[in-house]
Amino acid sequence: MPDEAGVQIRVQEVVKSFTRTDFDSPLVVLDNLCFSIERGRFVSIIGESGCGKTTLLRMIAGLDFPSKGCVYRDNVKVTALDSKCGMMFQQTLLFPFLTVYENVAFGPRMLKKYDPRQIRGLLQLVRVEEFSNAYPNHLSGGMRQRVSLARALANEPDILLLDEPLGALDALTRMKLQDELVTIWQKRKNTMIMVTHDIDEAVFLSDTIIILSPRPAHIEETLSLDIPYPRNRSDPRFIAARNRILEILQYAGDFR
Amino acid sequence: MKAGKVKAVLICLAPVLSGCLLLVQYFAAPNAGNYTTTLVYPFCVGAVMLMYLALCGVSLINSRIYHAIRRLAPLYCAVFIVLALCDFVSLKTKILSLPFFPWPERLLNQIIIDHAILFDCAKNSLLLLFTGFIYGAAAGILTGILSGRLAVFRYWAEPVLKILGPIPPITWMPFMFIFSRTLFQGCVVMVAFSVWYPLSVSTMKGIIGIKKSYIESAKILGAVNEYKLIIKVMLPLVLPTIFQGLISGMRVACGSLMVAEMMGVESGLAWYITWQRGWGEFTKMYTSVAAICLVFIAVDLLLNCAKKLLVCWQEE
Repeated sequence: MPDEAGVQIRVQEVVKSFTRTDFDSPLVVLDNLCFSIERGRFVSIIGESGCGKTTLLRMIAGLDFPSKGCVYRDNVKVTALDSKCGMMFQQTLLFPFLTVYENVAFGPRMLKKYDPRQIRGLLQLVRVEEFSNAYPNHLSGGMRQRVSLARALANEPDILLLDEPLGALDALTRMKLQDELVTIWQKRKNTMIMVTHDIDEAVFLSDTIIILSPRPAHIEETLSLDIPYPRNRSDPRFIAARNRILEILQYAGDFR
Repeated sequence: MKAGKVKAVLICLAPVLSGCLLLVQYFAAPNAGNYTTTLVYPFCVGAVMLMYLALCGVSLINSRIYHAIRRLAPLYCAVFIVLALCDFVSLKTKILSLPFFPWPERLLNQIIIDHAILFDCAKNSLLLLFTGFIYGAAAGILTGILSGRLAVFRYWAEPVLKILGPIPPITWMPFMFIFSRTLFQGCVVMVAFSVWYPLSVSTMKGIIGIKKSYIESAKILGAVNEYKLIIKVMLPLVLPTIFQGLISGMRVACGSLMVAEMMGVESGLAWYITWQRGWGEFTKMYTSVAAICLVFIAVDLLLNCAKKLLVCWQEE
């Protein structure tokens, strides 16, 4: 495949369909999707429920594979999982039998790269160091997501995939964690790809937003946001970007 | 508030009062017929009461002990009342008479006399139980993991489990004794078999029930090979279910052990019961029953403590 400088992820003519037991025809979720993501970007993917956003993310991770077409990571076709590509899920999938510290150390231990200083640093970064000996069941939802973020970062991934990471949190915790995600991204400069339903969140965090059409999904539009960080939700450019997305999603009239 | 305090004090002291009642009846009421007694029993009851009183004293400064005593006092009180009732119906009135119904004092003395042989029998029973238990647990966990992870293995294992499941393990006893070289081996196989079934089922169900996303997140974090996934993620996740299987398996195993000892094995607490019953020594038989109760309660407690320790992360 052609190499383009700076491109980290390339999705090429990807079609994804699922066979259905009670129907003759397969369910086409993604229809001929093509896009590329440059290294160090914060990209959000938004679209209606069921349009295949999470499936797309899973294909980039190597948890799922296209029915047609290819996904490339660093110019290499994705055929398996890679520790350089981390993922954070909507539900906290922290291991309940491990303490916060051990959860974060899980990845490095598996890769035999365990360094206590790095783990402590990560716990500090997401501000949960005082709970390092607590079990996940004893933490609030926000805390758990912070730990999930630290765990996803522990293997020092080049690409971090975020599948509605803040979807289950209350509005205030969500805003706090959005601020922290921006800070962490700017510090670590890894590529972030986030699936979200929240348009404000997408505008607040990302420099590129990919808007998908309803199923079978194709790219409706790709928006580049040139708004400096940290972003202000009342900035006219912020509001304009949000309205533009709503317009593309054909909901503008409902929300204005 | 004051009335509440008085009530709490009365409840905490209730076991002492019922203990005194037991002693008063023991000394003041005449024994029935030619029954004779010793001072060992009242001495033991007195010692237990003194220990309890000492705990009550400590509870004045330690709230944890106070709450435990407050919770358990009615139970202790009932124990003394039941013992006093036992004395009443056998020792004092002969409503239930010897040789079938010895009173607590007689039992206690018999335990003291027979302590060496009881200890030896308990040791042999426990040796059998735990040898079988360890083999059964290992086989059960292995079967559970293999059936949980490999569809082919599950295809063949599930019907076997379904057929063997409802049959009580003691049904196989004659076969075990025919095919095993020694009685000990036969009994070990039976105990192991009793643990194997519930543990296989609970481990298999636990592993099948693990959320797919847990496995995926572990894989993303680097636990890519099956061995790491099983050891580091799946087994710890299903530990609560494994313990459920272990505890219920242990109960079945205890039953199988008792039957095996009564039928064939030439040592152990249940063997002692059968032996003494043959001689018409009912008091000795009861001492073994008491020892069995104590041993099995201890084993159950041990397993529950291990569960509490290893599964401390589980939400209450």
